[in-house]
Amino acid sequence: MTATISVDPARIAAATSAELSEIAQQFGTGDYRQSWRSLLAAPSVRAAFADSLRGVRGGGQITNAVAVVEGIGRAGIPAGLCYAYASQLFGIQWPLSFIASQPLAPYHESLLDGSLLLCHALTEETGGSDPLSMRTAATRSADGSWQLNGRKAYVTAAPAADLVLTFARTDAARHPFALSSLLIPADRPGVVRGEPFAKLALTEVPMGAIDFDGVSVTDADFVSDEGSGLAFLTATTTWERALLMSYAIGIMGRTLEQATEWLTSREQFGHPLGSSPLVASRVADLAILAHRVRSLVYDMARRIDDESTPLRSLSTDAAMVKISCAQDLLQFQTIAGPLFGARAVIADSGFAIDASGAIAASIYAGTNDLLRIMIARDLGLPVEN
Amino acid sequence: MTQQDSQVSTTITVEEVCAIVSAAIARRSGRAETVEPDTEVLLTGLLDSLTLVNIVAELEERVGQRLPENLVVARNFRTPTTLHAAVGDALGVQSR
Repeated sequence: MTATISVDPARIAAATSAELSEIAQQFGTGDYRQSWRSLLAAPSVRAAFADSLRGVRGGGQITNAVAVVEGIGRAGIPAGLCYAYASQLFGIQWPLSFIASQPLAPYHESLLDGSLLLCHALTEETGGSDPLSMRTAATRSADGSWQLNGRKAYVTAAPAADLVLTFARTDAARHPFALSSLLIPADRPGVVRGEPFAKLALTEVPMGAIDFDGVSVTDADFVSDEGSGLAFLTATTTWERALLMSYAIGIMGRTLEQATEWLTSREQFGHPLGSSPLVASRVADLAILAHRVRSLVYDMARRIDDESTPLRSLSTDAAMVKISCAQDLLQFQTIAGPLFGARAVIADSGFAIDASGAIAASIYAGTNDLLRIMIARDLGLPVEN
Repeated sequence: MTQQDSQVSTTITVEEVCAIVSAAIARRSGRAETVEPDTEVLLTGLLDSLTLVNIVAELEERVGQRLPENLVVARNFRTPTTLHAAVGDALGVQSR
C-alpha cells in the first residue's frame, strides 16, 4: 500500500502556517467560538476537517492532518486552540467517520465553517480512568424510550459545544458490554453546560462540566449498538493517544527557532548567549526532544494511513507515544524557559513558556500512569489497577 | 485494501475464533482455558474489558480489516460460534 507517497508534511505545515501567520495575533484574545471560526477559515485547516468528516482514506490523509496541526502551531496560534482543533479532529471526527451510520453527516457544513462545536464527554468527577465505573446512565422506559442522567466533568470545549459525544452505562452491572456511546445535541432539554472552569493550562479553549438531567434519548442517538460503547471508546482513545500530541509539534519547532535566534542575537559579557557551550547544548536538547515528538507522532500517522494494522491493535503503541511525547514536552518547556529569562513567564512577551500545558498532557487522554499499567498488562505482567 | 487483499484475508474458521478467545483469556488470567465452539465464554466471567478488546484486535488482524463497533455486543460474544457468525456477517456486509 502506498498511502503516504504524495504527502509532504514539511510543505503542508509551512503552507498552513503561511495561511494563518498574518492573523495569528488576533487569536486568543476574544470569544472562543469566534477564534474557532477564524481558524477554520484557513483553507488547509478546513480541508483536513473535510477529510475527517468524509472519512476519506488511502491518500495519506492522517499524515496530512498532523502536518496541518503542526502548521497551526508553527503559525503561533495559541496552544489551547491548536489543542482543541487536534482534539476534535482526531478524538471525535475521525473515529466517528468509521461508523457506518455516519452520525456527523447532518452536521458537515456547520462543522466545516466552525459554526458548530463538538466535545467528547467521557470523564466524570469520580474519575476518568475506569470507564466501567461511570455513573452516567441511560435507562430504558417501558415504552422503549431512553432517559439519560449524570454528569460529565473536565470536558474540553464543553461550555461552548453544540453537539456532545458521550458515553453512558446502559446496564447497571459492571461488564464490558455495559456502556454505550451517544451523540446528543446540547440544546436538547435536560442538557446543561456548566460555566467554564478557571483552568490554568491551554486556556484558549474552555473546559467545563455537562449535566444530563432526564434527557430523552432515542435509538437514533446511539453512535453504535447498545452495549458496544467500550469498543468505540477504545477507538477514540487510541486515536487521541496516537495523534493528540501533534498539537505540540509546531509549538516546539517554533520555540526552537525562537531560541536559536534569541541566543544568537542576545549578548551577555560581550558574546552571544549561544556561544556558551552550556547554553548551546541545551538548545541541542530542545532539538532532540522536538525531533522525538515529531517522529513518534508522524510515525503513528503513517501507520494509521497505511491501514496495514487495524487501529485497535495500535492501542498500546499509541499509549507509549502519548506518554513519551507528554514527558518530552514537559522537559522541553522546562529547558526552554530559562533560556529566555524573565520573558518566559510574561504572558505577552512573545517568549512565554507553557509549562502548565505540558503537565496537562500527562493527564488528558488517559493519565500517563494509568497508561503505564495498560502497557505493563499488555506485556503480560499480572498488574492490577 | 484491495479487492484481492480482502479475498485472501477475510475467512476465519470457528476453531480459529476459539483459539483467539482462548489465547486472550490465557494472556489476561494466566490460565489456559479450553474454549470450544459452544463454550459460554460470557458466563465464565473471564471476559473483562481488556480481554474483549484484545479479542477484537486479534480478530481484526486475522481477517485483515477493521470490524465495526456494532459487532462488539454481548449477544455476539456469548460463544465462539456466535462470534464467528457475527464476524462472517460483518465481512459479508463490508465486501458487498
